Amino acid sequence: MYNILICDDDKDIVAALEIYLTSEGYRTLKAYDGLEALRLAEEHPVDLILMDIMMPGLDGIRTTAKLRESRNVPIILLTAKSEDSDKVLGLNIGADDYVTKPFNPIELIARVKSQLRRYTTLGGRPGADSAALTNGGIVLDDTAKSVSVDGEAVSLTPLEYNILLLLMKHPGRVFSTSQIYEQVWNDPSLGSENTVAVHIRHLREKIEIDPANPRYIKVVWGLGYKMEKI
Amino acid sequence: MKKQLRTNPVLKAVAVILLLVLAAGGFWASLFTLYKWDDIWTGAGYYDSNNYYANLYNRLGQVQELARLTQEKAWDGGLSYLDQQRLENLKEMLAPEKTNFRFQLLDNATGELVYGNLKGWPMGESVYRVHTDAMGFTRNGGERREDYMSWDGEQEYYLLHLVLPDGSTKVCTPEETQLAAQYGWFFDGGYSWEYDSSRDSRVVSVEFAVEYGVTNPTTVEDEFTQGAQEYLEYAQYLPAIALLALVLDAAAVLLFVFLCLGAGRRREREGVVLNGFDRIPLDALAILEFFALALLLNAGDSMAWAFNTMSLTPDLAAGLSVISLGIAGCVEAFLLTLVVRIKAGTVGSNTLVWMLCKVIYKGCRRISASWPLTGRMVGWFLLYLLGTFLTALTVFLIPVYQGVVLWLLCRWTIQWKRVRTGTEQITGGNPEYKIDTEKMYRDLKIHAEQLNNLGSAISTAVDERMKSERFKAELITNVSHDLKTPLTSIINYVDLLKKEEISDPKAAEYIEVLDRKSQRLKKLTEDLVEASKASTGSLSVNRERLGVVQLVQQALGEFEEKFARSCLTPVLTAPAEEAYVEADGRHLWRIIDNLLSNCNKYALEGTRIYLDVIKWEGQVTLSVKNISRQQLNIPAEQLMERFVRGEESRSTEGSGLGLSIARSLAELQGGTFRLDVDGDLFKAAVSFPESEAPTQIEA
Repeated sequence: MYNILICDDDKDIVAALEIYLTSEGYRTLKAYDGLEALRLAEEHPVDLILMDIMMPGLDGIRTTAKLRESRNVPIILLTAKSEDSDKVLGLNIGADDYVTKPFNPIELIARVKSQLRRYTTLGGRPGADSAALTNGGIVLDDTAKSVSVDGEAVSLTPLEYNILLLLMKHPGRVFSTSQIYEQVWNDPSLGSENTVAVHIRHLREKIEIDPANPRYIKVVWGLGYKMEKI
Repeated sequence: MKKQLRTNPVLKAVAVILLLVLAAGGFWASLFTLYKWDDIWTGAGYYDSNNYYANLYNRLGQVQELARLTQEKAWDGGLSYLDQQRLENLKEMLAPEKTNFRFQLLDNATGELVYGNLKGWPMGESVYRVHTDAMGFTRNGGERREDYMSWDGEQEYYLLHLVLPDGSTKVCTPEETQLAAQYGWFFDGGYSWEYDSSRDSRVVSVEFAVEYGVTNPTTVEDEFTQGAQEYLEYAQYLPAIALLALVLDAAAVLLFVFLCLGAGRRREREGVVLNGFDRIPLDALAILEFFALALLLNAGDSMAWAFNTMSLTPDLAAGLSVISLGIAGCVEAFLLTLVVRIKAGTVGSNTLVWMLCKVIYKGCRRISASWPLTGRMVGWFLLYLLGTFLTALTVFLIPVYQGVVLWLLCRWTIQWKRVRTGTEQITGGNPEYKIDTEKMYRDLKIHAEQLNNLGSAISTAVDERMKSERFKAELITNVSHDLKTPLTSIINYVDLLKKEEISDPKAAEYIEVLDRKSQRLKKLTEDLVEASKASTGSLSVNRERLGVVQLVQQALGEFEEKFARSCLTPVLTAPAEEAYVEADGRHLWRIIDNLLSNCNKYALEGTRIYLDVIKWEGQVTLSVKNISRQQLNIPAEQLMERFVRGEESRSTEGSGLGLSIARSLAELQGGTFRLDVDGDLFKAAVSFPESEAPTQIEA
């Protein structure tokens, strides 16, 4: 039973979010501005906060900064702004994730779950298993050939697994499709790079919450793919 | 500190008065020094001085007069009463008891003493230095003028008419010249006579030799003793006076420099300050000064004469001082105001002549301003002709005049060129350019100023336009943000509704419509923001070298399932080698994403989508071709407008902004975007300049 603090100046959105979260079995706390959110977070045990950015009085960014002074509770920002600079600002200030309005309720729930798993069960840092490769919430155990994302096991095809292994081994490095093909298929690439793109697409669908806005496997357009180092 | 001193009014006033005194004093001291300098410093003593010689020649004059009167007395046997008085006077003046001057008159022919004041002493022992001179006197020298000649027409020679001492006239012909010869006339052998006075028996002449000098030492009181005394006095004081002159002059110059530095400057005031005197027109002032100086010099002249001839009296000294000070004052005032004017730059402009010229010039300008341009042109031409005519009279002025005219024409040309350059700049997209209209001819100036105003108007209009574009983009962004919040609720509650158990199939259908439309609305707001940002260029572009083929393959990977669902088959034709361009990967992806989404939405099911990457003439072109499901009855150009879609009904999903965004993004990155519609064939092409392949593929 987790306590989730919802903070948005639009009461209907708060109400809708409450319905979704209670149906998933979470307890909710409701705040309609930043000051109220701060007060509630102070008075009640809170496991996750959903925070709107544009609010009267204390806005989401400043509330987050204030919360981060003393607490490491996961914070997901809800924002109507879609500019990259706003997202970067939000993450830099201490938010763990963000969702742009209008959001898909299913995606939001998935992100909430992911953050809660990481915050509670994983405790931030996985065990120092030498065989396991980790990046963010992804844990790849090469001996067991198993992959889990935020503690939840993911089943991958051998090719997808090998692609993920290659990317996990070199986080931050950009692999072109032909490089990936040559290393995973062990064949010289002869214009069959489409296959790689399709497989990576499938891989993203299994690992990422929102495959169109990937968090781990980033598309570097015109150059290739890379595993974002988190 | 220095400026304080220079601008101190009390100090300045003192300096002005002191300068007057110093200048006047210096003038007189210098004059005296220069006047006496030669006399005293180049001579060996009084007997070499100017004063000595002047007195000596004065005395020689007396001797000459004495000699003449003596000789006349000898010739005529007596003298008139006045002459006799004069002679005796002279003799007394030259008496050895009265003067130190010694002389003796000798007959130059015989050496016989005629007159002298040596008192028996030999000349050489009597005087410091013996001077000699000769003087001659002639009698009846002018009488031959009474002789005259007359023309004898028959004999063809002149007849000589001699006037004899008894008054009778004797006519002489060339045949009998004896008498004529006695009277100094000789026939020249032709037809005329010549006269030689020295052979004229009627003319009597005598020549005296004069020896003279001054005794040393002097024995009696006369001008020589006085001169010698003065000489000694001056010789004693001259060095001091010369030094004084030098000091006074130097001090005057220094003071003048000091005053020049401070001239026109005032304490607590910046720049040059002109007082009332400095504002008087310079030429008027010069004329006034000229009259004042003339008046002063005229008055001074008589005083100086009196000073020269008589000794210095207190009255004279006072008068000369006043006049000297007056002259010094005039000169000083003029020089100082000149300095101030030079500093202020009003030497030329503050003159009556200049003002007159200005008035005439302005009058001409005002009169000619109302003339038509051609009239003025004719006027100029007539003026030019007049000038040519006038200068032609004085030959040497022709090149000067024509040169000046050429120079004026060149100036006009240069200014006209300036106007043209300005026009080119303004029409060439630089409306803020300003033509420098300083010192331009009037008509050109008016023209240039109008052009400048035009440029300002254009640039203001452009600025307004930019501002309104930016404002529009901002408005769209803000409105989109405001739309998103209620849209979030709509989507969420529609989703919740879907989860409710609704038995009525109609209600379920309605909810389905709501869901679809709200999703479209979401897409629409997102596209709207993007379109406005892309078209106003407010998106940031991070250019890097990337492979187009790679990007297309990645994109196809993303669209694999969507195409499969729509039964579309993508066919990629790409060169064997990667084609590289400099672009922002995210924006380029967005373009291709939009194109492929369009294909997915509008392409006829079961057809193929042709993707071609072509390298051609330094350009990399990606073209996407598909067969449209519905008839495309809209021109290609219009398809790229915002909110235009390939079908009228707008029933299918899509905002109609995709192509507009694609074009804006392509142009933002320096590429081009083309659309082609041929029947049902829809063709889109994006081109970018090709860049070199990276030497090493970054891993």
